[in-house]
Amino acid sequence: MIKYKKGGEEYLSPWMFIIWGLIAVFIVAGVLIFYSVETDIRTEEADILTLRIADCIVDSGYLDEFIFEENFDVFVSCGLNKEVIEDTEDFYLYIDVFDASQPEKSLLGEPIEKGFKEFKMQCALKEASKVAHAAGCSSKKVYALSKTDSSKRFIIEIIAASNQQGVVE
Amino acid sequence: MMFRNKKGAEYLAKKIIFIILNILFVAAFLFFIGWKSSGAGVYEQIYAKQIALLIDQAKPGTEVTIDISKLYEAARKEEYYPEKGLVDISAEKKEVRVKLTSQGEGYILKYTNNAVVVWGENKHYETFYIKIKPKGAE
Repeated sequence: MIKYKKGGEEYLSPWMFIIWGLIAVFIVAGVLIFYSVETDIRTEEADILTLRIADCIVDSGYLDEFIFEENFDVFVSCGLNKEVIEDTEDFYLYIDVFDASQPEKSLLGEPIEKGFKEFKMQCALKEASKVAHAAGCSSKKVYALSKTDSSKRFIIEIIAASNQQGVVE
Repeated sequence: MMFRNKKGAEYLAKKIIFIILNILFVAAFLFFIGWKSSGAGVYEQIYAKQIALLIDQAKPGTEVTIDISKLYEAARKEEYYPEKGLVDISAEKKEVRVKLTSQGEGYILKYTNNAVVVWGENKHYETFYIKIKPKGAE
């Protein structure tokens, strides 16, 4: 069957073990990556945060104009835990409100930003270049009506990010 | 007996060793993949994340009972039978902990919902019960 004697003798050569070693490394890495990706919920966490914020500041299509007041606290209003979001450096929230007729002008003056602010840049980069290891991001634009002025429309921009990996103890 | 010359026997022996090594190599990987996909560590992560997401998403008044029989199955494989159950929610630290082995402290994930979480584990039915109450309704 084997024409060349040397070819037959090469079955158990060091090269074969090196190739097996390489295959082993790739398979182990592949399996580990596959199972870590499957349980990555950072984007879902960010999605839940944006929905939660949208749900608490927009009621039946109308903006809760309490957001314009100085003592507005997103944690209290949206039932979010301040310590987890601000102290862990795993979360980020961004809220801004615009007049729909002048979408470049913020009605809040300063946008509401909570948590680890570096994630805003990561989210922008992730959107632009699909950076794999950046935080999980969710960005939504919500349209709402004014309760006091029926001609007024608002655009609410909400960005949330999560980089919570969990802890194995 | 079957081979008239020594070289033929050597060739066959090498080929058999090669096949055996290949079988061992493939078996080791099948074992590794099986162990990784059904291991306690994976279940700890999956359930901790599911419960944390469930709490994050839930509105006050939500009551959910989830089947955690797979967690019990994984814990039985590890011969781990804790008194207080496999899932623990810390209201103070706002975290979900799932522990399926006697080693370590399990997998911990934080949730962001500030509501009061009432929870309980039914060992008999292997279910986990969560009720979300508004803050201040302790």
